Amino acid sequence: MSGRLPEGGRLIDRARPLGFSWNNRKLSGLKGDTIASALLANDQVLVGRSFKYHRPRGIVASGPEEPNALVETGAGARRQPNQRATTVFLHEGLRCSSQNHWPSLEFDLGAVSGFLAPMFAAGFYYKTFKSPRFGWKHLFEPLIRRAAGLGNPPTDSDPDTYEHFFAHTDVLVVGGGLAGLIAAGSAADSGARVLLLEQGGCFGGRMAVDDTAVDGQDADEWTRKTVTSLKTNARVTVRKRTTALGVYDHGYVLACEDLQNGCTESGRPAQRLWRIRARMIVMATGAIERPLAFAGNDVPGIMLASAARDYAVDYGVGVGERVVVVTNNDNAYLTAVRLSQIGIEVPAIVDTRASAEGMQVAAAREAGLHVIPGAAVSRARGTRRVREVEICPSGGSGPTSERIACDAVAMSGGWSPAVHLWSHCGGKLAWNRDWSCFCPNPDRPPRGADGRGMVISCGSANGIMNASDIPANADAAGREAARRAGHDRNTGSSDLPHVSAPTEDPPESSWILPMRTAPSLRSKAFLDFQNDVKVSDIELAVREGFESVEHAKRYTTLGMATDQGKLSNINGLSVLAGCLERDIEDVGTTTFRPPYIPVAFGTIAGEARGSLFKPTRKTPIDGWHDDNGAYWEPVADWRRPFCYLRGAETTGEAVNREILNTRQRVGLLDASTLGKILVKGPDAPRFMDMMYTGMMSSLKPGKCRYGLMCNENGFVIDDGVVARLSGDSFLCHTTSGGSDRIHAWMEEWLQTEWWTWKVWTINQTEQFAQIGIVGPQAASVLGQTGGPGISDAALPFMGFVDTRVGGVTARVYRISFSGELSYEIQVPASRGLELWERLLQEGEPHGIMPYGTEALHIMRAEKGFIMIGDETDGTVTPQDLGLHWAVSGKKDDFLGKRAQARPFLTDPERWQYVGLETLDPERVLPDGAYATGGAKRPGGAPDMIGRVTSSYWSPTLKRSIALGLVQRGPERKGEVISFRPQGGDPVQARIVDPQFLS
Amino acid sequence: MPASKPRDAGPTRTTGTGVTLALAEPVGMITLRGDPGTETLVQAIRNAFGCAVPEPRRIEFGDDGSVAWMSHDELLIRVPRNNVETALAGLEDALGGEDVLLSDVSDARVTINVRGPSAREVLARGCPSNLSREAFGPGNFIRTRLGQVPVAVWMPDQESVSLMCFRSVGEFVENWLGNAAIGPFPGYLDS
Repeated sequence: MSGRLPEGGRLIDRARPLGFSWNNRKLSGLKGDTIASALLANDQVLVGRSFKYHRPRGIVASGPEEPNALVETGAGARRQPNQRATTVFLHEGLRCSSQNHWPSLEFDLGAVSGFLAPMFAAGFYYKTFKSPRFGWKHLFEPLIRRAAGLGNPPTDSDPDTYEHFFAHTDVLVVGGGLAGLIAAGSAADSGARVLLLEQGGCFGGRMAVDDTAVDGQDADEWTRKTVTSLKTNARVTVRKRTTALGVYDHGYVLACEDLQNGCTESGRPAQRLWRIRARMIVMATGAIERPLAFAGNDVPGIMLASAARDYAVDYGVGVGERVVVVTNNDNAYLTAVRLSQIGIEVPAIVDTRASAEGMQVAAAREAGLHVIPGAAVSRARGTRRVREVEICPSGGSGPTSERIACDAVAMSGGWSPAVHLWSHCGGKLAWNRDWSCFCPNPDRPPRGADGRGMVISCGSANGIMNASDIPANADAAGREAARRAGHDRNTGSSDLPHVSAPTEDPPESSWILPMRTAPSLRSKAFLDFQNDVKVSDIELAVREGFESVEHAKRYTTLGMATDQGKLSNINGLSVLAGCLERDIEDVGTTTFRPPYIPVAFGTIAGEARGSLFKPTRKTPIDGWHDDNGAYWEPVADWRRPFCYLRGAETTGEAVNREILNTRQRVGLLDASTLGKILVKGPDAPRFMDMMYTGMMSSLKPGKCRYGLMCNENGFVIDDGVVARLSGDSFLCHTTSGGSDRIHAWMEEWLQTEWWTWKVWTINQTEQFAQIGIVGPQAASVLGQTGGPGISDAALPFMGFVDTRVGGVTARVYRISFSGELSYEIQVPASRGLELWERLLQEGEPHGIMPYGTEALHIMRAEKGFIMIGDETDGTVTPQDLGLHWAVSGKKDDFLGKRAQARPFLTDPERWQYVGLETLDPERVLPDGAYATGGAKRPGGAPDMIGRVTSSYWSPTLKRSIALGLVQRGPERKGEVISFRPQGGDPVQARIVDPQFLS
Repeated sequence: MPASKPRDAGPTRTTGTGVTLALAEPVGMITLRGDPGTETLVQAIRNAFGCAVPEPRRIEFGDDGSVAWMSHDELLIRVPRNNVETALAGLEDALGGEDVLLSDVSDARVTINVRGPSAREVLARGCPSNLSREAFGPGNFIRTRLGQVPVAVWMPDQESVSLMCFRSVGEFVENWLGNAAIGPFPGYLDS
């Protein structure tokens, strides 16, 4: 059994017991424990069921690379699935539970029947798509969904907060182990500003567990002093529990800091996402131990040798009472010696190397440990816990020569540098033959904006596997990073720490035990624990032709789980290389992609939730609307009143009231959201003629003209009224959603194509409030409110005048979007509310009422005016809309002109703009409904001949009206066509002229 | 009123972290688009405000206003609210023959003052620019983002940041800052 040892545990506080629950069972751990160490201390070795086969699984690792021990933590809204038990710290009252078992962790039906195995062979996902045709939907998908999967998402909104923080630094050092600490110090000594991130809760990396001493001191002592000295350096910022997630272009790095450390009552945000800009990045991320692939290597109790050592040294936990060590390298001997020193029985060290004679081996022999050279584990036996291992010669095919009883196995396949951050932004790897691992290729680093490498690796992340070699390497990396960031004060490395650590010889490159194992055993030897990929799956993939490493990965899902193959990568590649009879370096590796560890959606969202989810733009009159019954609708980023509710009326009733009142008396509209772009300069007329399809240069000062804008593909992108302010200046109105986009569009042409033209633009949208006063009584109200020059004669239709209205400097346009007599009054935004209230007051005797966007929409539809975004969708031309009159034939050029001459856009079969009247006048066509012709498409679907683009009940006409685009529509006026609303009966409508109200 | 010390208009909100937020008293604002390198323009700015045309990403403070660099061909002039018409007329006069565009945009933007030792870190929660003491201090003027909205920031003094955003998102930005000011702060920009 596993359990807490009588002494030891450098990270735990034995005086601070913490109660927690596991699958509703009350257990006790210690402060400093992770969930994993606490579970092992309670002899809970079985922690989950595997993804596909529901096999019992135990803790394999001691860090973020853990593939099996994914647990659910918290409850209710704080329930978090897929938490790595090895990285979540224990706190009082923590609730955690296992995942993916049915009905229970100890007894799982899926695993008992074993029927799942053939179901989930390599490529199963793709194979189930193929045949039989009904198979996927009715058989495979329900079954796979039931069987496969991990945790459950929380159902309630996350009560925690998250935040982002932008940080700029000269040098970012990732990793607070020996290499990172030295590199950070050296970079700071050079004069660089340094940010040092450590993913774990303590610094020093693996020094303390790897018997490393620095300058004759205990590793922890040296680490403490070094970190203190870094913290007191004003140029250095040190953060622990902060994991670098990804390296992106231009030295952009994301890192996630855990702020609560398990304590949800702290009032602190749960996590802080650091958004870092670093001139240079030092990658001191260390290395990750590899497992070995032998039959039954996934039985609980079998774990990485380093993890077994970590649990003993860091947490005072023995992972078993009899631990067999299986290795292809020297490093695992540290585990064997350490475990035996603290009283755990190590019956054998099974070493695949025929001649294992390094310093470590000698030390183990000296300690009286039984080393079996040239041997392998052919099979581990046990169900919910390993019971015994069968030993055989490592080079053979697996006849058992010996059985060793045990309750834990510590395995080591050597170490892989954690090169993920190097790879994220294009850095390439090189195969290190000596140490059988991929290392960062210094000649092909990820490059920054200047084309030079922006990441430097050091320490074991750089393939430096003997700790005594690390100081010089890390110091050089730190100084070089600082130098490239512009700081070269530090020229010498006189007093580098002297590190003494056990010297290791390179491992043997064998990961599949034994070398020529039988096929039946290969299908029990797991490579990727989290995705349940076995040696036999890779072999099948190769047999089926998936020979490229990228194809084999996707076909078998090797390395595609949440741990992204941190443990499985090299072992999988070695199997692939073996099948292809090539070297691993020729097979290559797949690309590591961010994030390094899974990151919560809340962390990505940061503060952008609730009322801060998205900016809401508000007009200067917004507060009045809100106080007076506004029923809001979003219009681009603005909120605008859809209608104003009075008493108990419905929105439909309100809209009808607003329309009838406007048509019969007078209405008031807050049109402040309309875009207003000022265009000025000697070349402004020429520029306007290019931007708009119509002729704008001929417009007289004081006059307005409706204009359409197209993109270079000939499609309508915006419309609005243009006012000519003077010979060289125009004010362009855009749609509410279009102001920023159209301003950028204008600037793009001016800056990238027509940079010699003398034209300036300013987006004045935010400067003004604009109020529409509409209806037969509009002139009376406006006349009463004051302002010279707005009489019928002085201000004709499509004219404007600069005047004063209600004491406010104003520009009054006489334009109409409803067919009614209508003025739009533009005043500085700060005077908007004042004018609005004044107009309401003056208009009261005339029956004035404000109206919202829906009334606006319906009134324009009654007149057959188009609305950008309703009648247009980016594929509609002015000609489709019957707006030939707004496209000048006299101009040499305008944006979209040439495109509009293309055959596809002049095709008479195009869908064109029409009005639609349902035969039943009470029946309003559903917006977006398609009209079907009689013909069928290949495949049997009905042929579509048109669609509804706008559809309303018109209170003015007391019938339904709709606008739409119909194939050869204008030619077919009078024809009745049939619309098929989704899931409803067909609706008959007659094609009519789009102008319903004359 | 010297433009370098914007006064508060609205109520001041102070958070537990010692950060105060307040809507600044409205000022007059003029956008000038044109080539800032021309001698006439340099002279016009000097005559009108007693300051130079700002270098990129900087703001110059004069006797009667400030001039901020918005882009390589755009300046934003801030003057006391009551002076805006005079200033505009003066500039139009002085730049009559030039290829420039002048526009009163006093109502297009609002300014919010953020004060306190953690003012930089409040902004750094949403602003991707380098706000460290070495990169950002009095005299700098940065057009950047705050969360999802465009803003410009400058520092009237070492412990205050003035932030300018479009009027329509003023309320959103105030709320955003109110949330960001709650803390705790990482303390990264203190040193």
